Amino acid sequence: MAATQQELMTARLFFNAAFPVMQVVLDDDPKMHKKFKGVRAMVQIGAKNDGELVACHLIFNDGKVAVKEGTAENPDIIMTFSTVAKMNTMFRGGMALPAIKGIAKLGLLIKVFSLLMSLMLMMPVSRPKDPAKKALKVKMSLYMITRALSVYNKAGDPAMHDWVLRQPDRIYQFIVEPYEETNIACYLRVKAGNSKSGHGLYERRKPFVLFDFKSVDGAMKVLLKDVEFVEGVEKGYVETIGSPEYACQLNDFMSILQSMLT
Amino acid sequence: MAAVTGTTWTCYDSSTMTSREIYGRTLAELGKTNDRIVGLSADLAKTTAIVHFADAFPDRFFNFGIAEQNMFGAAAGLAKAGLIPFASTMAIFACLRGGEQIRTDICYQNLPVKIIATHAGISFGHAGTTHHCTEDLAVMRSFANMTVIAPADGIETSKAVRACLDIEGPVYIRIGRGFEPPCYENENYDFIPGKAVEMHAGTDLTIICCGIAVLQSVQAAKTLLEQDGLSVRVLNMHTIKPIDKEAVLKAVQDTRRILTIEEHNVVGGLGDAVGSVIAESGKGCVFRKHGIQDEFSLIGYAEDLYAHYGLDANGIISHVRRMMGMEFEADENWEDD
Repeated sequence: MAATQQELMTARLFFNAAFPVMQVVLDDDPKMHKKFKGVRAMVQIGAKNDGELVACHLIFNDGKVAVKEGTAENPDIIMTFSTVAKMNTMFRGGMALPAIKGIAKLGLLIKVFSLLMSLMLMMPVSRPKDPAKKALKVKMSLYMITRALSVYNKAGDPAMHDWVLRQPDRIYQFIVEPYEETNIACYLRVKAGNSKSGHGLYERRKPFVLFDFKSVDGAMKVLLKDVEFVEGVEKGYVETIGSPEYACQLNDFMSILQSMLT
Repeated sequence: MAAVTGTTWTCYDSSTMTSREIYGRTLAELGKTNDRIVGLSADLAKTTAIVHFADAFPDRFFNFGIAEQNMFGAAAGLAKAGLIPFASTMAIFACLRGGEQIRTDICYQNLPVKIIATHAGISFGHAGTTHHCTEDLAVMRSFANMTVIAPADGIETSKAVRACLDIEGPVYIRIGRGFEPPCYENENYDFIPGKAVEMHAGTDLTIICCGIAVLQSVQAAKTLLEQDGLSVRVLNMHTIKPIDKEAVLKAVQDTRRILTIEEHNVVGGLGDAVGSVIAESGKGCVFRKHGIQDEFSLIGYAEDLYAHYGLDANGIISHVRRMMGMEFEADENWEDD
């Protein structure tokens, strides 16, 4: 049975928005960093869909990971789910197992699985207590959501693309205070139909809307939806500076994406 | 401080609130507490409203007849004697006919002569091109020691007239004919010579303007926000010299699109002053100067001329929309990080 457009869009968001966040884990988690030091390998992950394969492949190169959409030539490991829906279920933290080729490379398979599982830190059920883990969760979530917004536009969602199309060059900046300590900042740049997600502070111009999270804990409360966004503003967890209308519209798109990915 | 949203002035306002009237009344008020102030006119006391000072202090008022060069030369002498002369005439006669005396007698000696020039720009449209003045900002800002101010309305004129007493050297204050609608609702804002006032917040583009263009730009910014969702910053650059470099560079950094609006030739005025700051900074942005495009202005009622030259809110809106389609950087990499 062919996957629905919604399922295909969700898979594309996982491939292009969630998987690239693995690099944050490799950079910021010392154990994971050590695990992938010196690893050079290619892993394909995909699902069958109406006789074709919906897939991406991960290219590991000594602590760096690149994610490419599509199948790979001679990957070390191939994971294939029977349907796109099952693949999405697993990425959301549910039960679904792929068929695996390359099981002989068990060491690599375990490492890749542990890296995939580390993405579950972004799920609402994950509520770390350790400050470093909290910061990692916030960083991963914000990086993922800004990238997902851009991918959602590029993938052609009509509402998102229309929203981006009618805007001049604008920056939607996210920052977690105190930035000198957290080093958590990312942005979405939009311009007449184009979009780009980026890490850090965009310094070439002032943000059109700035989402200024006052602390890692405050950001956690908003991202985990312990408080609604408006309540988060009222309680001082986050301050929005700039156009309130466009901030709300972006927040609506973020909610749509979160419901697709979690 | 807040800007009004429409043309709400009346015939009553024209005799009480306009720049020219407020200048005359403010000067008469200042004369009560500062006996060093003297008033000078070149047969235009009523027209320039310095008549209010003349009526209050007839012994401290001098009419030179239609002899602007004589008036400015005498103003220099009065200043050397320790007085603070306020010399009023139409802008075109001040900057061109009296130009040499202002430069050599007043500016060269850095004397505290305050020149209040009325009927600037195209505000006296129906009087003809001979009475228009679209060159004065260029002339005056090229004189060393001169401070050049173009207030947005009567309230700001009052503040400028008061503030110029604290400026040691010569000051040129440029105002209109006296039929300009008010821009500010009250005096509750800081007027500091050389410091721009943000009239409307924005991050998509910055309009830097002075004089009558301020109210029109604020109205344009509100319309653009409502109709286009565009976030346009409006800076009232009331002091053209010394210009507020900090505000200009912040606008470049924040918005990357700069539009200057002035009721003046685009050569030598506010636009060029802003452009110099940007060019010297080495920062890139989309930059356009809007005003009279290096031509002698047509004859007609001021409101019709403002519309013709795109200096009204509609014209400014068109310019902003055009500029939003222009590129300000070559960074067209849309790959996600």
